[in-house]
Amino acid sequence: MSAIKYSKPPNRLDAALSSARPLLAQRAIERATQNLAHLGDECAAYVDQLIGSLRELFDLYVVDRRADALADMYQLSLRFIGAASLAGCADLEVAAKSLCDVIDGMLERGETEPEPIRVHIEAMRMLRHPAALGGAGTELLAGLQRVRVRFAMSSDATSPDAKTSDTLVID
Amino acid sequence: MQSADPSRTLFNLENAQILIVDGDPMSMSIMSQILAGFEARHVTRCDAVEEAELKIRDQSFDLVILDPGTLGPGGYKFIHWLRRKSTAPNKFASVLIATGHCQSSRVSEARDSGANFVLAKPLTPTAVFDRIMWMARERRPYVECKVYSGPDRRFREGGLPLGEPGRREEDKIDESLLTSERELSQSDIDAIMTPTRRAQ
Repeated sequence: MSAIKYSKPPNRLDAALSSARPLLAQRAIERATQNLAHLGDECAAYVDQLIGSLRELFDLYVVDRRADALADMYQLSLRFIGAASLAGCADLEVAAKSLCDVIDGMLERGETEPEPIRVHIEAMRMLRHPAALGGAGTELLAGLQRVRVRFAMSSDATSPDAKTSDTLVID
Repeated sequence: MQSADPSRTLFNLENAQILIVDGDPMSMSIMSQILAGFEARHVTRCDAVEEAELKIRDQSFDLVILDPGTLGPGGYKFIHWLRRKSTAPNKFASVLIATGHCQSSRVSEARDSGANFVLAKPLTPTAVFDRIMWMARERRPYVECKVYSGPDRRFREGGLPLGEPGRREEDKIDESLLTSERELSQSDIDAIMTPTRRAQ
């Protein structure tokens, strides 16, 4: 059996909190919430920029299907999470998480099928303006969920009947 | 551990030395704004692990917050390095992982790295407050063994340090969470990070 050493170092975070001026947590949370509200416009611009970058990367990926481009798209998809909801498009954030799942699953299995990524990017572009979608946003997300289930979780996602075109079509 | 009631809890980060490591500038801004609301005044921001390592060698931190997903393969290695190679007090600093994508392979990697908690993005001030309070209140011993350095992953009478074979049947975490391919919820993540005995 290997040796295990236990120690009880002082909790410096606790000490820092204990030595501070008294401030009610509720007030601190309110202030933090107000601070985040001021980031809305910045986040909206950032999300637009991310969608543009994602589409550019995808166009390159369709040509050469390199794994590192796939990894780059995963990195970009991650960046939507947090920013999109502050920009007022929480559904876009759900779609971005779904795309993370899909790309992660594809990377893990060495798959290169671009279609599930394409439908996600197109859906995200539409979800950027939720008011224009009306109730269609929910249907879009339901479609993406079906794509996600196939490509993020199914080991036979590359089978001929696992194409996304019969699941979700975005023109 | 129960959540702190914000209407009855005093909370002020003005004296805390905080390091944020995040490769995404907007994510960094969001966390910075939350911490500013919490009165944090000593916040060091790094967008790469190499820079963060230099800061760790140079000054003391009470809290390290990072998103390994935005930092490439070095993200989790940084926590591993912090726990194993850095010196006190930083070695024992509270480490909070805030990540946007919580698939099980990453959460288990986070658990094994020696982080205190994993927080799923999108971040809310309430969730960040809650986690910081958890870390401030926790009294888990620090464990160092061949394969793991970090806070004891056994809460009350929970599991064993990583890599140590349990002698009791009930000394195990819920392995189904580690093999699950579905996206994990915050409660799933908590279950992995804080293993407890299961009824057999």
